[in-house]
Parts: sequence; structure tokens; C-alpha cells
Amino acid sequence: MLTLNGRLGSRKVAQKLLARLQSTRDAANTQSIEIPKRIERGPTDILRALASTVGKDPTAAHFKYHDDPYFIPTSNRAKRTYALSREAGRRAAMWIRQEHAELFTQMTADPIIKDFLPRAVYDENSKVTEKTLHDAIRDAQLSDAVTIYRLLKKDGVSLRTKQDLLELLCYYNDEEPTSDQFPEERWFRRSLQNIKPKWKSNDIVDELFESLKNEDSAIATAAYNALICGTAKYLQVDKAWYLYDECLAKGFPVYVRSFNNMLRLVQFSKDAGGQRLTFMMDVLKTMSRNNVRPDIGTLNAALQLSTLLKCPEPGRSVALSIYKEMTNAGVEPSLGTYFYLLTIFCRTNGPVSEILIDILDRLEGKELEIKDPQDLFFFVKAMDIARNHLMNIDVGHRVHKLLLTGKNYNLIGENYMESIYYRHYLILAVQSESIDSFIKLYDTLVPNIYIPEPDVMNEILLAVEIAGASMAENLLPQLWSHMVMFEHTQREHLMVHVLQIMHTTCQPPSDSVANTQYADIAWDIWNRIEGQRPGYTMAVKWNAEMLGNVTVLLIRGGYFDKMLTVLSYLTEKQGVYTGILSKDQLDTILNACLENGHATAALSIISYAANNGIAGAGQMGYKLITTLSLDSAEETKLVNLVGKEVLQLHLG
Amino acid sequence: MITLRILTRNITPQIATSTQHLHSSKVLFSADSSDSDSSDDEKNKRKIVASNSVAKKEPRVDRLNALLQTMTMNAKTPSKVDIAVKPKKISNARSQLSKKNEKTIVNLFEKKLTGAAKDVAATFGGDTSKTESELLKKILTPSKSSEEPMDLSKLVKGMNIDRRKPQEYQSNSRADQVHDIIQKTKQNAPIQQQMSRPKFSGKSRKKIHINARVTVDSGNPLGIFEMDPEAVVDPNIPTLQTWDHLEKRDLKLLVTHPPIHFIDQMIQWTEQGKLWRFPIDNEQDLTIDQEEHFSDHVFLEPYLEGWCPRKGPIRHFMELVCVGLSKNAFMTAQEKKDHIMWFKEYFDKKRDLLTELGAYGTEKSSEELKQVEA
Repeated sequence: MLTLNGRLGSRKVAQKLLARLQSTRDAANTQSIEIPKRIERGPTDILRALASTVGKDPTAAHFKYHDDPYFIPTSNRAKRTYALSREAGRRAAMWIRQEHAELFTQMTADPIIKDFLPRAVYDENSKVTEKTLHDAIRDAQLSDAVTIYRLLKKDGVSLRTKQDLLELLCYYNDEEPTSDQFPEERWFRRSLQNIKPKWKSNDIVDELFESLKNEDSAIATAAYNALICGTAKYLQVDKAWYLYDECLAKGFPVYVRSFNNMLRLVQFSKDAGGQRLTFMMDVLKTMSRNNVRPDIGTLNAALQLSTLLKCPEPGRSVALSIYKEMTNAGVEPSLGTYFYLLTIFCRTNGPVSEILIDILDRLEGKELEIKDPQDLFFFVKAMDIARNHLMNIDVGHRVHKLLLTGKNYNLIGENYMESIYYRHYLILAVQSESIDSFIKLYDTLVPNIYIPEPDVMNEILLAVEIAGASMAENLLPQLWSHMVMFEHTQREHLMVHVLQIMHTTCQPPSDSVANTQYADIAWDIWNRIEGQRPGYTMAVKWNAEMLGNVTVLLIRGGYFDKMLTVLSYLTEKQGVYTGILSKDQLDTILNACLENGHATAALSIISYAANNGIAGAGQMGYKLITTLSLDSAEETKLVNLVGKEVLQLHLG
Repeated sequence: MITLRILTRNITPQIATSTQHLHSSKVLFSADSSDSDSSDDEKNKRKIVASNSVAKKEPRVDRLNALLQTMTMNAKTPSKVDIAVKPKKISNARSQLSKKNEKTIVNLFEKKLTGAAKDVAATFGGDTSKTESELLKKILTPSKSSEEPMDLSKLVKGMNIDRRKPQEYQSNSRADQVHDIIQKTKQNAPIQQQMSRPKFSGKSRKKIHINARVTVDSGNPLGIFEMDPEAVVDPNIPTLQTWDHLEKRDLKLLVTHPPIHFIDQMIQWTEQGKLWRFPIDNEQDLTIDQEEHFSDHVFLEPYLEGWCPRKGPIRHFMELVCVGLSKNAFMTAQEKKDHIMWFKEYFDKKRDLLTELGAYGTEKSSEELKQVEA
């Protein structure tokens, strides 16, 4: 073997190397190497690229829950409680950090992380500058900004900062801005559509406005517009209208944002549809005269107004006209726009409209962004219409596909709206698809993404019932365990329904294993209802049909001893439950008692039948006496119940 | 133009049910599927059909339809030209002139139309004046006006006109009717038309299903904003900056949900400023380090100049202090300087004692010291 030295030494190798060098140089000459330009990356771009590689795993619980079977929530209530508890812990930590800031002397972070510091407290002694005020305004710290402003006032504040503060106060008026630290609280908030509080007049707002409105026109314009927006946002209709008129009269330009907010007020100003419309046109024309370019806010505000018009006409055509007009003027519609169109076109009592299909044609495959708070209502509305208006599962699937495109899922809104969305989707699917494909969908969504409400579960049970006995055999045990998990066992109608399916509508053949499974379920139901906290107001109450079903199911499953427990309840606690057993059920029970040679139980059945005036008690007594040998006490009892004649008649 | 659009749309009906309905309507009204949109048109047709004998029905209605179609086509062209030609801003005199011209054109056209309609009505038989007015109404209402943007009073007036019941047309003379119709066309407003449309009853729900398919941008524009969508938006339009900023913040919060995996969590933390940002930089956000040069941290001997003796224990000590400080990464340059100055003051206070002990070294150096002090 040649050593490296030897190789280099040999002439052949040297020649080869030279030739290779030569060719490299030639190549370099012929084609110049282009160094790609550096791509500017944002701070989170790499993370986002990584995040896009993570797929969705429907079998895993949400990331926010502790990854331990014991801690994975299985009901809507548990989901909410766990997530909010976790965040409450974070809140508590922040509170301690704030209240006992003096205990935290270690400053390990360098650079300092602002979010981990307690919020600064401002009083007379604190040194504040205009920059402090500006930072507070930027971070939307309403109360701090007001305090700082009061401190700074005697030194004088620049007009620019005054304007900024005025805008902040107009935007939030009196409510404290939502914190960005608590996503769970936002997610589990009840609904976005809370009633807006009224405008509360604030001496600082008045003071700022008075000082700004007499400055030169650019500053005064901004001040007027800020106050118009604020008063209009908080529905101070008269004041907003007065300011708007004053602004126009003085010849100050009105910003598009102010026009938009005024448009939202039109609905409060006039009551009749036609007048509102005229009024809206008036505002739009004023916009056009002032050369103000409409934006998405204008489009959505105008459409919101036309939702109040009569349906289907003129509401529909006005809406389409507005849409066309605005898109012609270069406004890009947002999801909120489509939400309003759906609201206008698809009324509960109105004629059917398939506008949703056209909207889907436009949106399909697009990644959408939020442009208006109303955008969040689109998906819920679309699924609602697919279910209640069009009753078309294909449309439902298309809406869902759109929701799963890109980051569109963020536009679902909040937990409550997500639940409604899936409720519509699942009910639509269960009503219009085959049970097989529905179960496929069900398995991907339940329980980690969505937990069906009792009503949805009832629909599913109905579908299972319709699918027939063999399908029910496969599905019912799983559904039952889900119902237990989802805390549906306190819903009486669900219990009744399950029992009815197992007992009557989907009765399995006698040799099937399902009988045992059903008996287990029935026994579970029995224990759950019996184990309810006494005095609980929502407690499920027994009735004869349920008890009878439980008993028969236990017999079919071969649980004779367990059946006896139920039977003793049946015979001894008459009056606690309502109704009486049917003859068929009594016969089944009696036969089981006879097969097992249990004379006492059989006697109690006959006594039940005799006491409740069910025909055929005598026949039952005859059956008993012929099948089993009774002792004298039992025989006397039987004779007392049905009478000697009947027995003898039959004997004879 | 509504009619035309609906025609093309209805040729390929989307749903099976609608096809059925369309089919049935074809049988009834013989190949006329155009008017299923507005039920009053349909009603008119039905009246017409009813007034005719069954045998003559088909050819007549066919002819009528053909005529209607050609007429709507004709009506479409001039209005289109109007829109295209009319510039947005013209001098007053010129605009008046052009308006006058327009008016004459429109008048000529009106005459032609009225004449044609009259002929049709005559061939048609029955209530001639009624048929005629209906025809005219059908043609004229949907066409788009090129007039100035309407004002409020006109609009309200238009609404009044529209609320009149159709019977009133019959009572008026034909000339009045035509006049009314043309007046309405000038004011245009698809809105008026919409206001006058009868309310759909629950029964008609199925019938309307024919047109259930809606194209979102099939509406008639209002004609209020006449701006070029392609035009570059002036970026300097004044806005409420803080308001915009706050609104953007709120919108972002609306779509920021609990993170779905750890990387998502990291993205949120980065955005909240709790994590290092990419690209990685050891001196991220350490603004003081950027202001102070490296040499200020390391070369501290210059601060000894002027007060520290050149040799002897004090010099030795101070040099060690300088070496130590130059290696300290946790103090700012200013703090280091202050630290050295503290020693200066300390030694100054003890100068008498130190001179006595000879720590300041030779006379020469003490002279230097005096010079500095002076």
C-alpha cells in the first residue's frame, strides 16, 4: 500500500491533481458564482418554520394540559377548570411578585425582561418624563398613563403626547385593556359579544380635547377625530353626532375611521329601514365628497347596517350593491364581510340562499388574516348555515377544510364559539352521513378537540339506533364510556335513550356477547343513579320503564344476582318511582326466576302483578307452582295472591 | 341588466330541484326563465298569458321574449357609453352642454322605445296601455344612470314614487307613466327598485330556491365612490396613530390563543420579549455596552495619570486595581472610573500620613503632585 507521501510523490498523482485544479479554474471562469442575497429574517421566523413541521395529533390532549393520563381532562368542565387553574397559578405568582417586590432582590436577567418585573407604581415622588408616559401609552396601560399625565401636567406635555393620550382614553374609555399575559382567560371568556358599556365622561378627556381643539388645524383635526371615534365606539350617539357635524362644518377632514364609527351609529339614530338606508347613503356620500377612500371597516359597518333591513328584500340587493361598490373602490373583503352577507342572505324564516357556496369558492385554499373583530364570527355562522339552512354535509366539510387551512384555525374565536362550531358540524354529519364515516370524524375530533354536549350525544345515539342492532353492538359500549367520561350520566333523557336502545330497539341476538356488555352498562347505570348524592336537585329519578329495562338487560346478560337487587327495589319501593312494568317484562323476569329456581323472587313478581292489576297473575302463579316445588308458606302466599280457584282451574 | 345576468346564470342551474322548477316554469311560460327572480315580473307574465288564448300563447310569448331581449341589449349599450365617456370633472359650461346633448339623445331614445313598445302592445292585444307600460318599465328600471350622485331629497322623493301601488299606473295617462318611469331611471338607485319589491311570502320559498345560488359580486354598484382601485394609496393620509396601534394590538390578541405546542409557546414568549430573539446576539438589548467602547473598559491606566506616584506601593496597588477592573465584565466603564476615583480621594485624604511614611516616593514626584493640585 502506498503511503500518502508516496502518493503525492508519484508523478501520476501530481499530474492528476494539476488537471483537476485546472478544470476547477476553468469552471470558475465560465460560470460566475452567484452568492444569494441575504434574506432578512424576523425574530420568530425560524421558530415559525419549525412550528410548521409539527403536525396535529388528534389523539393527544392539548398542549396546555399536563401530559399524564390522570391529569388529562375528559369533560368540558374539567377542560375549563384545569386550564384556568393553571393560569390562576401564574396570576397568583404575578400578584406575589407585585405585592412583595422587595423580596426579589436577585436580578438574574440581563437584559432585563420587562414582563418579569413588577409593574411600576407611580405616585407624587416618582420621577416621570414624557418618555415614561409615552411608553405607558404604547403598552396600553390606561391607569398608569393617566397618573403619569397628572404628574407631568405642571411641567407641560407636548401636543403630540397629549393627542396620543387622548386617543388612548377614547379607545378604552374606562375599561382596563385586556392583558396579553392570560391567553386562557381570553379563550374561555363567555362570549365576544358582550354589551358595550356606555361612554363615561372623563375630566382628562375633556381637558385634553379643550386644549387641543384650539391649536392649529392639523392638531385640532386629530383631536376631533379621536373624540368622534371614542364617543361613537361607546355609543354616545348625540355627542358623536354633534362633533361630527361640527367637524364637517369647520371644514376639518374627517378620517375614514371616524366615518366607519359613525356608520355603526346609524342603526341607533333611525328606526325605519328606509330611513336608515338613506342616512347611510348620506354618510357614504359625504365620504366620497371629502375624497375619503373607504376601507374594510366602512364595508363591514355598511353591511352590518343592511342586516337590519327587511329580508330578503331590500336587504339582499342593498348588501350586494354595497359589496360591489366597495370592492370596486379597492376594498378587500374580510371574513367579517362574508359573515354579514351570510346573516343577510340566510335567515331562519327567509328563502334559502346558497351564497355560502359562492363564498367558499372564493376563499378555498386561502390563508386568512384578521382584519375586523367580526371576522371571528364567520366560521361559526358558516357551519350554522351549512347545518340549519342548507343542510348540506359537503358544504360543512368544505367549511371545515377552510378552517384547517394554514393558520385559519386562529379565526375560530374562542372556546365557546369553537364548541358551537363543532356542535353544528357533528350534528350535520351525524344526520346526513353514514354511521361509518361519521364515526371516523367523531374519532378524530372527540375527545381532545371537542367534547359533545348532551344534545349532540342524543343525536348520535339516535343515529346508532337507526343503524341497527349489529352497529349498536360495536358502538354502544364505546359511546357509553364516553358518556361517562363527559359527565353525561346525570342527563335523564340520555339514560332513558341508552336503555331503550339496548333493551328494545337494538336488541342483540340471544347468543351475542353484546348481551353481557349491555348488562354491564345497565348495571353501571343502576349504580350511578343509586349512588347519586341524596337531595341533589338535578338527580335522575327512576321510572318503571327504566327499571324494567335494567332488569331485563341484567337477565339477558346472565347477572341473576344483580337482577335480584334491582327486583327488590322494584317490588319494595313502589311509589318512589312512577309507572308499572309491562306484562312482557314481568314474564321475562318470572322466567328467569324459575330457571334459577328462586321461588321468593318469583312470588314477589306475582305479588307485583296482582297488586298492580296486571292480567295474567293467575297464569304466572300456575307456571310457578308447576315448575318449582313450593313449601307450604309459599304456597299459602301464592294462594292468597291469586286465589285457589285460579290455580286449581289451571291444574284441572 | 339584471335580466341578462340572470338569464345566463339560469342556463346552467346548479341544483336538481331548481332544474325541476325551471323546467316547470318553462312549460308554463314557454322558454322564459329570465323572470324567476322578481315575482312581480312573473305575475305580469302570468296575467299576459292568462289574457291570451291558449292556442296563440306560445308564438306570441316567444316573440315578446325575443323582442325584450333585443331591447334590453339595445338599452344596455348607450348607458355603457355614457359611463365610459363621462369624465369626472369638467368645466361647468361644458358639463351643461354635454348634459343637454345627453338629454336629447335620451329623449330620442325614449321616443323610439315608446314607439316600439306601442307596436308590441298592439300586436299583443288585450290591455294595450298596461302591456306597454309594463314593457317599458321592465326595460328602463335596471339601466344605470350616468347622472350626478343623487342627493337626499331626490332619494326620498324616489322612495315616495316607488311606494305607489301598480294600479296608479293604470289610472294615469300613458305619457305620465313614461315620464314617471324615465324620471325614475334618471335617479336610478337600485335601492328604490329594491324597496319596491314585494315581500316574499313563506309559500314562495321553494320557487325562490331556483335562484338560491348567489354570486357575491353580482350587485349593482351604488355609484358613490368613483375612484380607481389600482391608484396608489397615499401613505401620508393622516390617521389616529395610537388608535391604530391599539386596534392592531386588540386584533392580534383576538387571534392569539393558548399555544398548541412548545415551539408555539416559544413564539409567543419571543413576541412578549421573554426569550432571546433571532438572530442570536450576545449583546442583545445591552444598550450600555454598545455606547461604551471596549478600550474604555480595558485601558484604565490613564485615570491614574496626574495623581498617582510613578512608583512605590501606591502605584503598585493602583496598577493591580486597574488590572482587576479591566477583567471585570460586570461593571460599566463609568463605574470602573468612579471606583478608581474613589481611591484617589481616599489617598488624598491620607496624604499627610502617606508623605510622612514616604509612600509618595521622591521629592520629584511630590512636586509633580503639587503641580497637579495647582
